[in-house]
Amino acid sequence: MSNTTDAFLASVDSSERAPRVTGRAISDEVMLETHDVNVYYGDNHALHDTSLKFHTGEITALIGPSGCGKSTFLRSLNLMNREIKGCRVTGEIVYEGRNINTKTENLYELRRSIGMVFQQPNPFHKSIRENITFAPKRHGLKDKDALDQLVEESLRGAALWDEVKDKLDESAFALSGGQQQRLCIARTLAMHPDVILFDEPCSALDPISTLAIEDLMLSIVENRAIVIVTHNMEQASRVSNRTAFFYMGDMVEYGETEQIFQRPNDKRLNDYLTGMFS
Amino acid sequence: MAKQMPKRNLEKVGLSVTGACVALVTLVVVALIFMVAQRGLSTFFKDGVSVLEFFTGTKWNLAQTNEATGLPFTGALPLIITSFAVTIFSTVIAVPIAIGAAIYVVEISPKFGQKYFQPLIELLVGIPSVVFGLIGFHVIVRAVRVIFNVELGLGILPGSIVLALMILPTITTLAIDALRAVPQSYREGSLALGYTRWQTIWHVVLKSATPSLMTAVILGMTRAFGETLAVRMVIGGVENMPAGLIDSASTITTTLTTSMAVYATGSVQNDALWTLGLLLMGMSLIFILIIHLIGAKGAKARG
Amino acid sequence: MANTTVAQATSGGAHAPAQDARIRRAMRNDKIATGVLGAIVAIVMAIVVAMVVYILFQGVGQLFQPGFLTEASRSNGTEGGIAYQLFDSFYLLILTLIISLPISLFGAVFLVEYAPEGPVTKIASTAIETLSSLPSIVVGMFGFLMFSVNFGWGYSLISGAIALTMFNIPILTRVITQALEDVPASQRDACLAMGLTRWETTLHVLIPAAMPAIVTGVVLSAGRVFGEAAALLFTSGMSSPARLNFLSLNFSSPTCAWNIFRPGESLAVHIYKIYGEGSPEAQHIVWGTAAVLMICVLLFNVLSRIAGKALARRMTAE
Repeated sequence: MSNTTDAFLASVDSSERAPRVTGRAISDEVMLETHDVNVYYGDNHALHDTSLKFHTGEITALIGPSGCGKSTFLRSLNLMNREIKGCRVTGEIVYEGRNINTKTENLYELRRSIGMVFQQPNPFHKSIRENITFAPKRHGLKDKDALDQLVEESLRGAALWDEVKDKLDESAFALSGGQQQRLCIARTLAMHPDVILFDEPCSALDPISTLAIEDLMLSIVENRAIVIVTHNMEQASRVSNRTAFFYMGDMVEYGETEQIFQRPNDKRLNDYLTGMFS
Repeated sequence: MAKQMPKRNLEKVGLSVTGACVALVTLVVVALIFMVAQRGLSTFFKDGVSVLEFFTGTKWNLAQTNEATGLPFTGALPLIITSFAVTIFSTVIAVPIAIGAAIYVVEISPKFGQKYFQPLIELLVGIPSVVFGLIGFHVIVRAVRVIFNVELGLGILPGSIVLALMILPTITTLAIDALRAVPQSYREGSLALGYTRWQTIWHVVLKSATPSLMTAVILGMTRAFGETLAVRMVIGGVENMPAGLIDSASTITTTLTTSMAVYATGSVQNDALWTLGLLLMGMSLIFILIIHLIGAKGAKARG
Repeated sequence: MANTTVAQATSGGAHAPAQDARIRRAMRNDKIATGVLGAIVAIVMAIVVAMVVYILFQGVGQLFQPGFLTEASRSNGTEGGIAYQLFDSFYLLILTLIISLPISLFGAVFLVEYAPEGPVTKIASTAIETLSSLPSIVVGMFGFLMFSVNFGWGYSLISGAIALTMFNIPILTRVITQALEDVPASQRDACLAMGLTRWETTLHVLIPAAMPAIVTGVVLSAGRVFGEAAALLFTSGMSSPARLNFLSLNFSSPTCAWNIFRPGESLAVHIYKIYGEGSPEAQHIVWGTAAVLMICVLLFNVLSRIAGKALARRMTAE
């Protein structure tokens, strides 16, 4: 079975999937929401008063020029900002009916439910199988059959199973960039998260792999909320239901993707979309 | 390993274990400084040796008693001067060679430098000091004997040459790092203005790397000042004020090796040796302080 | 790098000769400088090679003398072989690594992963830096006072090993810290984002990823420890027991080779002890010992490279 995503695309019969609705909101159920979140790096007030809602079954895109705060905001959703020295996050982040932005929140449990995929594919220096089983094992899952099942389930979910099922015990680094990123997604899926955060997941990939990842996102969003930070406006309009536009630390406009791209209200958003700055 | 343990506690365990190791090391260092200082200072406070006499007196002989004071002769000036002499001379010999080699390796032939020169320098770093001393004893001392027509050939000169060889790799590798850290754009800017490569190196690269180069030199001096066995084997061990470069002499470290195990702990002689140790430690700390000051000044200059 | 100058193109008519002369002089200086520097490098390399060859030349013959490596020394070192010294050198090295490696490893992990901003970390790294700048004779004196005298262990291998540990910890800590910091931050991020602790991240991902650099550093530091003598003079002493029994497990017996409270003498110390002896046999022993020491150091050097490369290849190429 060839490695390229041509093969992958060919192997996916599009009629198996129900047509995905993008561009419009499709759900009222809120999985995760924030109220007036501010982020400070030391004295630098990087993000101001951001309140957003993320709905189940929807993909929300965060767009905006470099340095506008969208990645900063994303990283506060799974409390990853806490790992940075000198970083302070204020405001409420509400998940499962409680504010998780507290000192008593169990980070280790929370990050199983809110997963993250990063810009650079970052598989571990282990085999493909071990990449997926590493975290579940450390969280207590020991049964071998359950682990094997988890591996297959996650790799199928990431549309990678057919390509790697014969080499699960080979190193993850032997895979191509696009495959590695799908492995990272599979790794995250293995934790059975309710929310998946994507931080510019395709910026290190070629266009074909990018489309594959986008298709993948659309296929795993059922019963989950997905938030994606992207520099690529076309990507945002392709995959997301709602979009939020950030500018210089403020969340400026938020709405259904179709409205944001075709009838932007804010002038700065309009300028951004027409390419006056990026 | 810790599947049953909640992750919070696991993290606390990790923090405690690693923190304990760091605490242990810190404690040991503090204990060392305290112990050396306490014993070193007791020479003056407990045994009654005069500070002035210690640092300016020119007779050092722990076996004899000074009739006037009832204490052994503890004039450490010859030792101090010899220590500084070998340090300074060895640095003067080594620095031009080290920096010259570093310039060649970084600016002129980087590929050659990486492939052939650097492994050899790393080898030089690894050679034990006794081996340096042995070569110094058989080759350099013999050469001094022949060239200057003296009987022994021991003294500050062979000591400085041996030390220069020992600190050469230290200064060279640090100088190489210092030169590599100079941004390429500096060089390109200079060459684009029409300067030759050598002019660029002299006026631009070296000037820019000066703080780091000075740090390299001082670290070399630190190592030279504290080196013990190699110096011991070629310097002679006679604790007199050296009259010339090829008179048998003794550095602070030399005296420590010859006399340390001889006198009982707590005796005046032993305490005097600890004072020498305190001196050694103090000089090392001063060198480190100077390096920090250079670093801070350099950082400020770069803004 | 190019040697051409732009100045030539812009010289005016009346100034041309003077400017040409200056440019020619600059280019001549450039050539001279390059030549001088090249000569310096050549001389340095020649000296290093000459030193190594000289030692080996003088001493390798002795290595093949029957019994040199397998017999004990006699007559206070001036006759016989260096078997016990060889053993003591390696035994000291192993003891030192056993003590210093965990401390340095965990210490480095603290400094890289856990260290909070503020005075705690500053004090700790200053302490380690201070330790690294101390002359080894001072470390030896401290070891002598603390362990040989105060603890009452006398001249003992364990005293020497602890002194060597103090000498080795700053080196190892710096190497391991650098190795951990060189691991890409994305590896750490990926682990933390899946709900794992820093401890698990370090143990299962960071340290394995940094292993090639760590192993290289450890083997190189082993070479330095192997050749160190000043710290041992007053801690493990300058002589080995006359008889050592390698099969004995009676750890408190003074002739048990494995007894860490017995005195011992490393190869480097042995050289220092007998280098001044006049007899030809003693001199042969001195050179033979130096050759053995040199070869071991060379082996450590080469081994560190090989191990590092092999591990790195296994991790990435796979």
